[in-house]
Amino acid sequence: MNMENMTNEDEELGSLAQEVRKKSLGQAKGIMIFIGVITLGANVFVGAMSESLVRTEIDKEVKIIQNSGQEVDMEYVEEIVSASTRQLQLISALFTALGVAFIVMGFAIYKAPVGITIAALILYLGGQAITAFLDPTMIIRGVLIKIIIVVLLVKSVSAAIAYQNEAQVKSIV
Amino acid sequence: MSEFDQGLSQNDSDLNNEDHNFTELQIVELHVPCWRCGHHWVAGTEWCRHCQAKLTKQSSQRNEEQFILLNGRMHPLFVGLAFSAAMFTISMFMRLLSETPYFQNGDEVAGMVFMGIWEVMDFLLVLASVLYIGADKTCSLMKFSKTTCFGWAALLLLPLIMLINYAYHGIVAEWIGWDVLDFGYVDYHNYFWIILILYCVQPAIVEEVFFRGVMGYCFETVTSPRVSIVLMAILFSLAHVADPISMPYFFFIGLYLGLLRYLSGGLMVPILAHFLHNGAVTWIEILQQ
Repeated sequence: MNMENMTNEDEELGSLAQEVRKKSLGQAKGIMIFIGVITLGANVFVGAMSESLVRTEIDKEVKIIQNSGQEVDMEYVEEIVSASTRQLQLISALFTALGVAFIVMGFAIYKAPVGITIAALILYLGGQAITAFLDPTMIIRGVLIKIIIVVLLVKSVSAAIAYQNEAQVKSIV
Repeated sequence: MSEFDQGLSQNDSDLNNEDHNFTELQIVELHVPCWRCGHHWVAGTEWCRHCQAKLTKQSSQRNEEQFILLNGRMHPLFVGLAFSAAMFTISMFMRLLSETPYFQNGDEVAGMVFMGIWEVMDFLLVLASVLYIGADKTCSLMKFSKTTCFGWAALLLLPLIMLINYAYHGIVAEWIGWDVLDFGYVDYHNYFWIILILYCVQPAIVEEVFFRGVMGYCFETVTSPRVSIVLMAILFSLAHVADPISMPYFFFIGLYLGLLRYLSGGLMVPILAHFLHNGAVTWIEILQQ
């Protein structure tokens, strides 16, 4: 009788723990979709506005050179604008793909929880590092939110491993 | 018989009597480390096979809490990710340094010394990771004799990979308007042997040992080989942040090298493939000069 009670208690606690892990994975799912939508939206905008963004920056440089009394070859400037615009469009396209990957991973999190949570953590940190590399001022912007996201993703990796192990044990027993 | 030995034999008899059905099954190791010794639990047992610690509800909870820091040692997954982050940081730092006027306008020797320092830093980092994880885990993969015929067969796909490399970079170069594979200051004719070591031998060995050996082991502790291949490829492409335009291609070749690692059952075929790939790129550069 005692043993039966113990087993039931164990099972109840086990399913409760599994529910908590599911909640943590659900949280990770929300974060991934959030990151994905933000990345996608921002980069579609940058991609669409790339020419005007590049032109504004290069015009500033040209004005500085002209103010110092030097002549500027406008034909060469147009070439630079064209090449830089295409480069920016390519980078935006890569980050857009990253945004889509985050959304897909968010929806597929229960299919391969461990792999997806680790991939999300690596891609998020990698993406942030590349952004900081391209524009160092990005490190400080929203640093608190970034730290919270990283902590939650690390916790979700741990929860995903525990969730997978529990599922493995259930399938064996 | 000491108390400890009596405890061991008691535990063994408990296992044999109470979990009789289990002893007839194949022993399945879980990816949950024991809270006391860190060895993996066996599914269906209440005792750690290594130190005989009991898996109670409390210790089970403790396992999860101690996942990141286990008995003063980090979990292999987080160790691997920390080393990857260090490699990523070095790559970014060196890229920033290479854009300074000194290296942009510098001579060939300065450029190669710079490359050499970069490679040495990578080598030391990878060596540290191999020693931390346990050298036996990587060394056991470094045997030609263990290579399967599937591994050798998959090596034949390398020309196709090279074709994809040049097609991808050709399209990107056409789109942007400059040659993304232009390595600039390198004189291949005068420094052939140094370039062979810096561009072909060192990256092939060091990168494969780290990404397919050390990281492969770290990912295998928590996930399946298929997922490990994708994760290794993501890390491999991120480590090449110094060349951001080529990152999608690095992801693709990372998948191929990961596949070679599992198809061949070791690291020798991926090392050979990586060497041949870099060697072919260098050879085409020499022909173009």
